[in-house]
Amino acid sequence: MAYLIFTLSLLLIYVGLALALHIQFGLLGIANFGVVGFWGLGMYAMGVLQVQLDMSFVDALFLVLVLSIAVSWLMGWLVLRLDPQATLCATIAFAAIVSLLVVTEKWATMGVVGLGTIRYPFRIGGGTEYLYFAFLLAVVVGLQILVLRLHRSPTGKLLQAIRDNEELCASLGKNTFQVKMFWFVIASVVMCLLGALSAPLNQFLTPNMIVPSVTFAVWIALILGGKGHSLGAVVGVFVTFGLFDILIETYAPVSPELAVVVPNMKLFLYGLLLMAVLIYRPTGLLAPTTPPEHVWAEIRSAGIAAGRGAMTLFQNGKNAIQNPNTNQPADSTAAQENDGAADGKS
Amino acid sequence: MKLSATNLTKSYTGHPVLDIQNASFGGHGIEGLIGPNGAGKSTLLGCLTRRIQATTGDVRLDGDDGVPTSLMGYQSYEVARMGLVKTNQRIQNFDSLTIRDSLRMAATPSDKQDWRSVWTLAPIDDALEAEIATLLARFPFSDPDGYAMSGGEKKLLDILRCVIVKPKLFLMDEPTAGLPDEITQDVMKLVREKVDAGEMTVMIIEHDLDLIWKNCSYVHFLSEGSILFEGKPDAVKKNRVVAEKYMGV
Amino acid sequence: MSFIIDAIFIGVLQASPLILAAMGFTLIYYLNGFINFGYGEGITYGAYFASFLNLSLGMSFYLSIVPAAMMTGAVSVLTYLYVFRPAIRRGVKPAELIILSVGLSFVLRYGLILMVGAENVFLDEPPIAFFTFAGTGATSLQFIALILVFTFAFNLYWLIYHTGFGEKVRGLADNPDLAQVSGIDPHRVSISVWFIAGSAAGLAGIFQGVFALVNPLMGWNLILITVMVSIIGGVGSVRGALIAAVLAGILTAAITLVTKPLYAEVALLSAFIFILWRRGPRMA
Repeated sequence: MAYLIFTLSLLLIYVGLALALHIQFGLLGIANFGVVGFWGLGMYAMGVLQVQLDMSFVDALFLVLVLSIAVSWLMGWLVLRLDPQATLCATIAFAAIVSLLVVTEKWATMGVVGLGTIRYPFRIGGGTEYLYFAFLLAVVVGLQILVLRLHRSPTGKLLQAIRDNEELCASLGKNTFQVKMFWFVIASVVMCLLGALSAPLNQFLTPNMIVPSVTFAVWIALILGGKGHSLGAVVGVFVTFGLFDILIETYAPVSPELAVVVPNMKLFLYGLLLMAVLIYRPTGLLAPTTPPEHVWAEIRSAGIAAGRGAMTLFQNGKNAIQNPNTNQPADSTAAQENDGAADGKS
Repeated sequence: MKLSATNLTKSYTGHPVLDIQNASFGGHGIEGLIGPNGAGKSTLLGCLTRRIQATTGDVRLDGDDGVPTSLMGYQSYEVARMGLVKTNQRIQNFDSLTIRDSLRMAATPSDKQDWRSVWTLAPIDDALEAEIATLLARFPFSDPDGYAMSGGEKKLLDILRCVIVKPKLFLMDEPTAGLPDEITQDVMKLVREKVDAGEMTVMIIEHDLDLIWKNCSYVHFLSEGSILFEGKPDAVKKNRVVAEKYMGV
Repeated sequence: MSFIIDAIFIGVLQASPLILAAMGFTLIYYLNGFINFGYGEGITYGAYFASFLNLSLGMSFYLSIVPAAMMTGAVSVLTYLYVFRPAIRRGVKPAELIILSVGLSFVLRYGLILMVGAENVFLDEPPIAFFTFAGTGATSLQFIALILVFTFAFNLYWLIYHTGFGEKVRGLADNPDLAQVSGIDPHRVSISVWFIAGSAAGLAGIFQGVFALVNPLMGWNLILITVMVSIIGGVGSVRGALIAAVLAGILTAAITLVTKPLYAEVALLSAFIFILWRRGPRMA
């Protein structure tokens, strides 16, 4: 049960990160691929302040806030005027710098040895983890409410307009850079603070927590759930993290040999899912216009479709193995014809 | 509102495309800007609205108090806020906003659109809503609460979006391109009402000369990057240079 | 003075995988206009193909180089045919193609781990002789790598700038519609480019693997610096990528000589962000 509450808390952290990314990418179109950089910065700052300087949780959190505003502002200033591809590369580079500095600055972070122990902000016997979970839940619910309101508010419409056509927006007298900067900083600070809040969860910090697969997990959740829908982030995290890290890793009867394979299998399937979504359903599970009452139906039908697709693939694979020559030629000529038609059009 | 350009030049990789000695725009109600393709009309508009950085020269805005301000130190959004707004020749749209939201977004002042507005959901300004309603009643969109679908709807929306931000000098870049005739007529009627009410002055860039002769009281002729002639429509029509370079051959 | 010579010498020797990777990467970027993070896995796959030929089939290291590179080229072509081409046809935009390529890179990397495990593999190195040159030492392997790299680089350079094929590639990248009208078969040219680029990645991986070790993360560790070098070198400029890679190698060596190697990476990454910022909305 203690492990489950830890995983559920981690799930909430991921929901929070996906919501922050939703503000940046879903609403503003800023491709921040340095999610783990902001998150890791917040987490390690919290750890260093508590362990090395013996600060209280609240003092440390306040300093993390100040630090994260400065760093986010600097990053915003550096990347927000760039072409989207350049923004993406620059933010990846930022995350790489953070993870390298965590290794090199041993005097503060203890390097690969690891940094610990980080305490919970309060301690009430056996209920600490539960109370902390409730606290995280409140934070994430607050964030989700912010995103829901943002989608329908005047400022949210402005953000969408900037994402759609920044130059047109500026020609109507909107200070697009300032708006982008404000919300980029807000969302990045949220990522840093979520990092600070995950420090007590992890208790012991090591540099291999700051790896690109964290960024990747948040991105796949957002893209899969639906980058344009206010509930996309939550749905995406539940479908990815919830399914793998909670249902499979906690409940599925997996033998010890297989258990080693599961995390790798997970990232492999995440990659596959991300590719399939981007190519075949770019809006994700929830299209931007999906009304709230259809959210569940949408998820269910997608689940059924994915199941059918997997079954078909499996059947085809089995057929191909059993009689390798039957449908191969027909298929490939059809594909070539299709290619030819598309070539002609483009 | 009047705009004057002095020694305004723009060159791309050393190749000059614009060279305006001295010109002023927006002093005559509805003005026209005509000239052959490649004359530099779009570059001129870009330089005036600060979307394009001019190589040399100065653009000054004569404010209501009569004191001229140089625009060169301002960004394009600041120039737009001063009242210099331009429609787009090519279709530009916010694809994820409905027609009504698009107009609302454009017209809402920035202090009612910043982070504090997260907590206000309802339409925030009744006068603005009424204005949008009148505009939408006047122009036929298939569904004002849906998205602009056809090219014509997007073009019309682009013009209305500019009108609703209340420009003082309104630059229209080829308003007829992609719009049906009767809608162009309606747009020109709306623009004339605003001009007659003293709310704005207009400059139209057009190839459709009938529209220019019918609506404009003053016409600039731009060719090879310079203004070769300007004056009342009749004078421009009769001018030999204009005839040679543009209409004649 | 000897510091400078050391830095240049070590830098050029160590940069040889990077030079290859950057030149190949820049070709794809030039032709298709998006950053392909999946390209990094070509580096990993090249090293693993070589280790398969070298360790499992017992081929000599030098004999395994060419087939391993060609196998990587084939993988690269497959990713183009089955992932990127369908995506481009369906109108996926460049920013999303990059995300797609990150997805592909995870699939390739963790697929590999699922098949062969995540342990480090050491290539069976040929006998090594040690040379000294101008006061700095190098192994015969490094010299051979350097010669091969520059032969490959020179050929690629010649191919792009001085042959009909290169003209087609440049035509297709600059103006696809015009190129198609003037009778260039985009399909064929693209497949060739993806093959050449993939082979370059494979070669880079083989040398990276024999200099150090082979593991599934080596490609991902090298891809970011490859992207940096190619962007700084200029889009589609094979020449620029070559120069930038050599400079990055020398810079890394110079910083490594005075402080920790990881600081060299931090410095390079910071310089990269700064250069992007200086360029502004213009990417290259």
